[in-house]
Parts: sequence; structure tokens; C-alpha cells
Amino acid sequence: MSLAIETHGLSYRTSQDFGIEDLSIAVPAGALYGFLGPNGCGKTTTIRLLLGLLRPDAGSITLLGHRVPDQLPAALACTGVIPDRPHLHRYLTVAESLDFHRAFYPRWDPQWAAQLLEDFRLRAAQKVAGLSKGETAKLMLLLALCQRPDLLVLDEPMDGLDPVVRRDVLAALLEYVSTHGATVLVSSHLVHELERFCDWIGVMDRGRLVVELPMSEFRNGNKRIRVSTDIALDVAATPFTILARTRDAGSTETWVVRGWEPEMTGWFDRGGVTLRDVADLDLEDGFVELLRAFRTERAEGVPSC
Amino acid sequence: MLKAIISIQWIATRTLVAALALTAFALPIISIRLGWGGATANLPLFLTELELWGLFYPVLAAVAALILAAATWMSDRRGQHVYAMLLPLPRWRYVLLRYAAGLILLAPVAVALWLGAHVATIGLDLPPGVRSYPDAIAAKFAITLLLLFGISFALASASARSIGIAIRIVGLFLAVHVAVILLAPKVNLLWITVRALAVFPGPFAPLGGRWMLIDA
Repeated sequence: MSLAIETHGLSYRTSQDFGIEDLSIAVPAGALYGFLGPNGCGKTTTIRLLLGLLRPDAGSITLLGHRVPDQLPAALACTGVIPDRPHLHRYLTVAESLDFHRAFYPRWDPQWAAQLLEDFRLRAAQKVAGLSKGETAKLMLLLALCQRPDLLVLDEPMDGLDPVVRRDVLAALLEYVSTHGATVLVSSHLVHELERFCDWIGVMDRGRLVVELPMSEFRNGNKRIRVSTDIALDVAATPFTILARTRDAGSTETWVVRGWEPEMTGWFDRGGVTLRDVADLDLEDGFVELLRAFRTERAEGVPSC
Repeated sequence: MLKAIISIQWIATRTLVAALALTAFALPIISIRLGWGGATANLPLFLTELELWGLFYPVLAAVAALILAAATWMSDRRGQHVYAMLLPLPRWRYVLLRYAAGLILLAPVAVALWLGAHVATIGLDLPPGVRSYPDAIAAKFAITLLLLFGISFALASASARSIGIAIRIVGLFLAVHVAVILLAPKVNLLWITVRALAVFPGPFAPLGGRWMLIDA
């Protein structure tokens, strides 16, 4: 599997209390990689490290086969970026912004830029300073897409946008990815947003990677199951990981489990536990339970997953 | 790329460049026309007045250099340089492009002064032994602009850390100067340094001397 983004042992200290610690992520080429995590968990710092905006204290970064920061210009030439905050020159008009941006990207697609300008209902003569939040987001996406990148790095691109703008932005993004096979790393704390289109997820918390896996594995492997048991259960003996365990009425318990496979039902038959129900967990529930388990493990000093 | 940078820099500073160019064009004309009373007028008085007007040339160069250098980086600073750092070119090259664009946009100011100096001195009936120096004053103005723009540009593009280091170096120098004065009162390090910088071949030499458009 070729990788579009690869980091090894990445560390960066932002303050005495917080930093990125030993972060190793691998984003497969062509993946729509959702980078999830609560606010302040280090997603933006990680993205800034990936893009060479910050220099890591330790570790290595490779972007599209180029080492960062040594080969940063080559990496950025093939990477479209939407940073966490609008970064465009506010005194320029939309048309002037396009003219400026295209000068740096030889693969710039003027026809598509004109098309997207129309689709996004952006006025060429409008000053960037006068654009609404949604219009600014659309312009940033337009600039990122029309440079025809192999990799798109989007930091909270939907944050604060209304549903109509979100749909427009998402549609343009998916159209590009489907026609060009580009890799996308999109960070968000809006879990439902990512669930709709990502095929890989990486979850961060407190500067560390909690989990990284294909979305299908996440969906199929994370379940909410209801069991009945009268015996004291050895939790460590289960073939899956119990992320959360709550006692319901009587001898019934609800477990949130990770690493579930259909053939594991046999374990219940042998263990004297009755499996009553297996339900899918949506990404948000899975995300919350994962974080909860991760924080408990860290608080207890157990190595993270 | 240079064209793109010049273009956005021009959009950001065109009003300032136009105002500065207009001032540069007007300065020599005003300085001559207000004091010149013809070949029979009081020449020494006129030359003294002209010498005073000459103070405005380095001031104008300093104002132009400072304003244009600050304007060059204003937008990048507002965006915390993120846009610039995400462009696919080495950072030193981006800085160089910005610098080159800044110099190009300073050119109209220098050219305006050269034109103004020529317009001011055309047709003047100068007495024998008195000459006009429109090209020399324009060249001196251009060199001063170049020098001051370089310094202002470096300051405007410097990070807070670099500025902190520079301030510490200056502070250390002043401390050494005070210590030397106390130990050997005849040695004035500050004066030696100022002279080395301001007198030819020091880098600030163009700022000194007389700025005379007409001189005996």
C-alpha cells in the first residue's frame, strides 16, 4: 500500500502541558482520511507540522514521497490546503486572488476555476474582505482544487458553515476526488460529517493517536451488544476489547466493544453468557467510547491502543 | 511569480506609491520656484534656503522606504504568513520576490524625483559658476531609497525573535560603550561607530552631505 502521508515518532511540544507525542500516522494514497478528535487534541498542530508550518522536535514526515521540511516546496506543489483560519489576502478581489494563486501552480485549471466560480456563486469583483464565511470557505476550496493537487489537506473545512454551503463544498470535493483519485486528509470534530464520505479514520486525543483504521473496519468492528450473565465475567478473557460496560435491569449488561467479528458469537456460548443483541455503532458513538476508553487507559497508565 | 507578487503589491500600495511619487516630483520644483528670484537675486540667501529644502529629500526617502516596506508585509503578517509559507517555493525565494517587487514599486518615486528635478531646473538662468545637479540629486535619492528600503524591509519581515536578538545586540553594544567611557573617557565607541557607518565608505554615507539641486 503506497502512502500519501506518513509520519514516524512525530513529537512537538506546544507548551509545558501539551504537545504531540510520538505520533505515527499512515494515510494511504487515494484515501479519504478523516482526522477526528475533540477540540484542542492536536489535530491542527499535526496538520501544521505536516505542512511545514511548524518544525517537529523529533520524528519524520513524508508527504507524497517528499521529506518535510527538506523537500517542502515539492510536496506543497502537489498539495491543496485549506488551513484552519482564512489566510487569503483580504485586499484582493476574488479574481485577483485567483490570478495570484495560479501563478504558483503550473497545473492550474482555468476552465474549472471559472466553472466553480459560477457554481459557488462567487462574484469575481468582490473583495475577499467582504466575503461571508461560507463564501470564503468556497473560495479557499476553489483555490485548493483548481491547482489540481494529488493531496488535499483540509483543516476543519466545514466548521461554522451552513448546511447549504457544506453541501456545495462537499459536492465539489467529492467530484474532484472521484475524477482525480486524490488523497484527502480532512480534520473535523463534526463526526457525522466525516462518516458520510471518509473511508479511513484516525482519531487523536491529547496529542496522541488513539486509533487509525479503515472506516469499514471501524463500522464492522465496533458494536453495541447486550448480554445476560449470572457469573462474574473475566473481561480480559474476551476475544474483543470492551470499551464500555453498563449494567441494565437484572442480569443484563450493555457493552460497547471493539474488534468484533461475527464468529465471536461462539465465545458467548462457551462462556456461559447469553448474547441477546448486536447493534452497529455509529461513528459518533464509537468515537466517544474510544476516547473514553483511551482516557481511562491513560489515567490508569495502561499502554494505549 | 514575480509578476504575480508585483501585481498584488501594486494593488496594496498603489495609492501610497502615487502619493509618494507626486511628492517626489513636486519637492524639487517647489524648492526652486519658491526661492528663485532670477539671476540677479540674492544667490547666497537662495542657496541657504535650498540647503534647508535639501533636508526634505532624505526625509522623503525614509518615509517612502518605511511605508512601502511595512505595506509589503502587512497582509502576510495579518495572516501570520500562512499563505506565503504554503506556497510551493523556498521561503528565501519568496522573501527575495517580495523585496524585488518592493524595489520595482519604489522606482516610480525615484523617477518622479528625477523628472521633478529636471523640470525644476529647465530654463533657469543661472549665474556663472552656479550649476544645477538634477541627475546627481536624483541618483543620491535613489541610492538612499534603496538603502533605507533594505533596512526597513529587513525589519518589517523579521520575526519577533530576530528583532529581540537585534535589540539585545544594540543593548549589549551600549553597555560596552558605557563601560569603555567609564574606563577610558577619551574613547567614544558610539561616535566611532556612527562615523564608520555614516561617512564614506560607510553604508549610510548617502544620507549625509548636502542635498543641493543647485550649487555654486
